[in-house]
Amino acid sequence: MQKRVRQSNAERGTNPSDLLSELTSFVDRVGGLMHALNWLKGEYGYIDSSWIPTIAEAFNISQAEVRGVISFYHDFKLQPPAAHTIKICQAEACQSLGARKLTKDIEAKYGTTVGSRTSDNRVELEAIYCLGLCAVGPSVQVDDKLIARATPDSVSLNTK
Amino acid sequence: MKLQISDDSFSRAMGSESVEFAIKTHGVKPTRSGSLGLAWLEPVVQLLNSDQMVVSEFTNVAVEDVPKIVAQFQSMRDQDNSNPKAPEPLESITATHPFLTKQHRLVFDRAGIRPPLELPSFKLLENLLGQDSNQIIAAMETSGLRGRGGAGFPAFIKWRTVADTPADQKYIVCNADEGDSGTFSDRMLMEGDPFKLIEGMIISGYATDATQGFIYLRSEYPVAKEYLDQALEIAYSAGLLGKNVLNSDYSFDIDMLIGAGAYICGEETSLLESLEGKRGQIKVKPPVPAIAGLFEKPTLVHNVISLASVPGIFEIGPEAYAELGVGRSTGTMPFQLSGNIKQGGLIELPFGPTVNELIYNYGNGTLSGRPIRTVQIGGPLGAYLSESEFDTPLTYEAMAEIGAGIGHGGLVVFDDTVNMKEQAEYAFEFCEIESCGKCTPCRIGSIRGKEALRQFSSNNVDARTLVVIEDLCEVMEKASLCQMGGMTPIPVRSAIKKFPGDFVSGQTT
Repeated sequence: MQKRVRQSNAERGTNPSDLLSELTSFVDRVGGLMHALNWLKGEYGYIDSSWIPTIAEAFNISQAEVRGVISFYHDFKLQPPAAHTIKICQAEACQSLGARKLTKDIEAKYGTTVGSRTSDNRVELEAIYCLGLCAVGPSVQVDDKLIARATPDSVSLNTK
Repeated sequence: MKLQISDDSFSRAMGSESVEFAIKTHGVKPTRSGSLGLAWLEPVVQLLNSDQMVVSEFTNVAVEDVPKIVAQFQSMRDQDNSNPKAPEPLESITATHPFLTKQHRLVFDRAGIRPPLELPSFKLLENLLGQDSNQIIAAMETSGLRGRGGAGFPAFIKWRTVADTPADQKYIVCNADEGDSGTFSDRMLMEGDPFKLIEGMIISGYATDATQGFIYLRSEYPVAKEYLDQALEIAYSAGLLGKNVLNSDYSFDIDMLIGAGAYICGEETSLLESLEGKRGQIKVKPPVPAIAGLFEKPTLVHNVISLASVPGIFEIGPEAYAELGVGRSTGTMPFQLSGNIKQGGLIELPFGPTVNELIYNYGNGTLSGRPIRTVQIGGPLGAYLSESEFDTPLTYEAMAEIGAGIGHGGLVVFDDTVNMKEQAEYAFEFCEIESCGKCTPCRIGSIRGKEALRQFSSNNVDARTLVVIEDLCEVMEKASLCQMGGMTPIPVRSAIKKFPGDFVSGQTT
């Protein structure tokens, strides 16, 4: 479902003047740039480099500042996401229940590694540090779906 | 009759969404409750009679169990209709579970029992809004509440500083960037009783003369966002937030900002930078945020549980609150038991239980069935304890004595298969990934530490390297600007010191 939204947005194209008017609603809000970048992430799944001049214009700051903020946070990416994202918790509570092995097994299952994606752009694997499910780990998130007591079998793309 | 299903991140991760969907396909619409924090039993489905008493309960519910549950619900409901005598209440499994009955819940008194989005009574708040704010701060001093986010700083000092610093605008900032592995109390509170947090923010705002509050919530908590968004909306329409809170002269607003995946933003100066829409780079203190925080204005920064502890203090009275706990560790602490543990979840108790009590009496040992080798307390910057330290009481003071800290109250249990060299390596690696990059000891020290340990594929770390690691730890501890670099040595050193066999050197020094 997420994928469809992203595609339709992409098809619509992002016209700088449309983007500028969308962004003005965030300008006067405290933390406006964070709100705006979060909104772009939610809407498109990433922040396209070509939007940076428009974002800078909207907030009346330099492009370097916008890039600085984007590059600081793990969530803000300049590349469109793969069709599915699998986030595997790498933190201590999940380590204690075999997250290191689980990570290797999931990597083998999908034929890619954490931090990379499959060549057909179908799945990307990401490290995440704590989903707050530490009492029932190891934890994995597949797109929007949270998975406790994750196993290589329970982590699949058809979770709904 | 009502069919109720638990709904929070635990339950969803344990499959509650598919269960809820399956129930709906039978034409029954379940209501949602929060989670009681008996995480290993989720998801929980309860049948409630018209007095809201549990008449039947199912734990670890899977989709296959749904037909049986729905059939029972329908037959009880039909009985209910034909017979004026409602089904008899049942001793529910969760409510009578020793994991829960032995707890002392002040912060989590409503979570998992009342629906999270049902407005509770605000009688207490109404009374407080007429009181002298100095008295409220004095009561906070009496209570002895210390920050629950990690540092354990006395709350009233911050309150008084914000109140006494003249400014045209003051802020309350709720640090909901709970990023420590092994912690989930903030998340559970926001999902299970968001109004408790809102109430705590209003009281602290009123006492310190702040009119604007912010919740900085980490992006890894989408379910908490869902609940807080709705709770804030309900609070505004109920007159709890906005102009003239509960028809008083006091006005207070809350806005929420979602973070973007940066652990360092749990550090208060970094969080405030991020809240201003910038890189979450830390700042040198002083000035402390209570004097010059958000936009250089006096800002009270507290974590979720600190703020959510406030209503309870006034409910039972600050003196009674100070009676709970041990010495200067007053009140209750929602401990979080996790990792390789049979019964993991939320355990709110007055300060003072030993680690042993939590991991064995509550946790019932490891999930793997193997012996417990170590427990890490207080998140990724917390110490690994050896078995001989498991009888240490969980108080700020007793933990400090063994070189550990309670931090956010998380206990992560490891069985005897843990490799402590890997854990030390990971402590450096986590610091490398999450360092804001501002100061060299943290930015470079973490990478060097990781590399120094990783060059040994086995546990045969040579003595020279251990000297280098200790040097790095000393520099990071003494010269880092904030706790990220400053406390990374704690897990590293504790692992090396207490589990020397995992770093066995081929040569002697």
